[in-house]
Amino acid sequence: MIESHSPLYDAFKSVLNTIDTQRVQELLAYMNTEAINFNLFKNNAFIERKFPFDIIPRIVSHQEFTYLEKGIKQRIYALNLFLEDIYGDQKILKDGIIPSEFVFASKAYLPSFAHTKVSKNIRVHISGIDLVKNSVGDGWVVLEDNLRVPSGVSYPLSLRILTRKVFPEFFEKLPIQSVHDYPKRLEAAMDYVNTGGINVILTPGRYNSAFYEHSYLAKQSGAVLATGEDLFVEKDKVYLKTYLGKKARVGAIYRRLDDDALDPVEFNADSLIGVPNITQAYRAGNIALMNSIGNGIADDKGIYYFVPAMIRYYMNEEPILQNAPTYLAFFEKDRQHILQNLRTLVIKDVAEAGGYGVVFGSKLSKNEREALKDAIIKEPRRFIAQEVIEFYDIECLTNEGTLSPRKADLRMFSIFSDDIFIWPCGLTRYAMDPSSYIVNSSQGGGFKDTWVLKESK
Amino acid sequence: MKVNFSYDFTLTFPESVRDHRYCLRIVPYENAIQSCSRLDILVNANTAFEQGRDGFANRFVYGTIAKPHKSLSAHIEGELELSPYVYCDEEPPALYNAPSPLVGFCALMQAFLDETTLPVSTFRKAVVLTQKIRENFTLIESTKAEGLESFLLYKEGLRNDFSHLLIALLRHVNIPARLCHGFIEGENKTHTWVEAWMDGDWRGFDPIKGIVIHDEPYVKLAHGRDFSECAIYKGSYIGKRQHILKITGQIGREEQ
Repeated sequence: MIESHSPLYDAFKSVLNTIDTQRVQELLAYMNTEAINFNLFKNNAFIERKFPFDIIPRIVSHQEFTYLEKGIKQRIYALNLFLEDIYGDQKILKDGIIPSEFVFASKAYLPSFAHTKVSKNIRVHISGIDLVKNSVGDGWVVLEDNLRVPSGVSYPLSLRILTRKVFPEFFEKLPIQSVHDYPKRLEAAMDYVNTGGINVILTPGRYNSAFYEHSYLAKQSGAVLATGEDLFVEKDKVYLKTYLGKKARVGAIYRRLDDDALDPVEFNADSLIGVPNITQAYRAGNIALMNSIGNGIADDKGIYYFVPAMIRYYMNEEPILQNAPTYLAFFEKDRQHILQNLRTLVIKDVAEAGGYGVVFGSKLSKNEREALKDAIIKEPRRFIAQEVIEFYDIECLTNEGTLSPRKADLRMFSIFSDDIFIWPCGLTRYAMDPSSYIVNSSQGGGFKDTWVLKESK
Repeated sequence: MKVNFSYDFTLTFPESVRDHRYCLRIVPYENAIQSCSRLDILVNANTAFEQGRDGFANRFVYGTIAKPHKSLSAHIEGELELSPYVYCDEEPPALYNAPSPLVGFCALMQAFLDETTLPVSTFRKAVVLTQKIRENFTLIESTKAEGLESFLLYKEGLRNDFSHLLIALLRHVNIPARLCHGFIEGENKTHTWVEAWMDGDWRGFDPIKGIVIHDEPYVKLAHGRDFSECAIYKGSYIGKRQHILKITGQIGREEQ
């Protein structure tokens, strides 16, 4: 099923058809010279390559966006309450909504940060929720919550700027919502939780796959782009080294590195990109870290199963957005179902991210299937299984000017400050080849802009 | 029981290091059976430091020594009031029943359990396991073969290995267990032991001595799921990564 066959795309296609085909290819060639890089470490080698994009956007109607906005807000709100609870009183465990061993056995739960208070009780400052639109029943389904260090905002944002410049006719003729206030929203969110001092975006450095985004967001939000070396802890506060050899107090850090790399004293001693003892300043309440430490427990692929239950538990509401039907190998009944239906399910290793550790049962040989079964029996906590969702394709424009459909997902971003802001855009990622379901950028896929339409008058 | 204590921690580096950020878990824990009536902490003669508490309520001191140096020293002394080793706290026992960074279950442990007859009562189970470890393993002061697998293989290991093995076995029979790091009477260095959760209380077991802890003065500095969460020293510095931690001192009972 191809989403871009819907009437919603008619206006876009008719504008595209008014432009000479050869001219379109020339303009795309120009756009490609404006590199949008996605750096990768593969087999210990550093690869700097362009993140391929496609000019045909995903188009979301105003009504559909309003629905997604409500659903994501609800979800983020519940996930934030879950994190406050799990690092606090753990009521949800005491009330038996989530089996406690499920949280405690996860590597993502960091008990050494229990009872650490965070500024304004916000832990999920920035989130990226991955959804797909099910071609059966037409409903949106959440595949994954990214609550640690989600990336991707700058790709559609840069593509939007470029497209406006090269194909202004789309923006004249279609009621597309503007997206350029994202960095301003980010700035406001940093100001909101700031504990006194300047705002900083902490990057692992230029070899990181999202460095482009870090520098872009810093430039646009007015935050200082810094590496670990530029920051230091003195007494119980964090400072930035300034050019004049002086120091400036830092009150909020949008950190683009994982917990594990954040503080070589507290976490991985081998990390050269972190800030030693920054976690102590954090425990003392003197720095707001965006996102908070230990969020991994809430976007653990196993905990995902319980998000609808969290929404009911904390908010007393029915979930607006659905999860993909999921089975936890941890539960005896689910495990039997998984073992008997391995062929039709997607198996995910909860410890892996970025499209790694995702296996389609149908693509395994008999031996591989048996090996996977053994692994599931041996370590049930590590695996979840999901029904394969037949999600929509969106067409891509090939070099020959023809249309080729690809599976496409949607990552929607939110910023949590005094309210939760859902960005009226998103990163639409498509699979590298027409038969693939894996859309992760680290797996060779490309991306599209996401156009949210304004309310029709 | 009132005890006084006085300990020195010295970290020495063969070559000088700089920009040193440290975090030391050297301050006695406070709970229902252990409270501090006097406490003096000194770092590097008289350098400023900060204090904090982690999620296990372990207290720590942290700070920076920017200039090149070849040693870091800390001194603590004070007085403690200790009660018999049975108590409960606010932490969820289930946290200590799951595998942790350094403690999982392995086949060699199953073999060890297979040749052990375990009684029914939770308390007796813990006693039998504690004694069995004491009888079958030898304490050594240094080793090149680290980790639980080699401990089980060579039947000798460090203090941590004794405690980690007991923790793994207790968790395997569904008894939550955690590692404690601190001081005991008559030893000139730090010691580790195990707290196990049973009948609504934490009780202490020392697999190195093979005993259930009752009234003996065991002074806890920190606890965690395993040693990775209660090491005395954690730090980061610029210089050759090599250091030696030396601990000396004692605890003494005060006359009533």
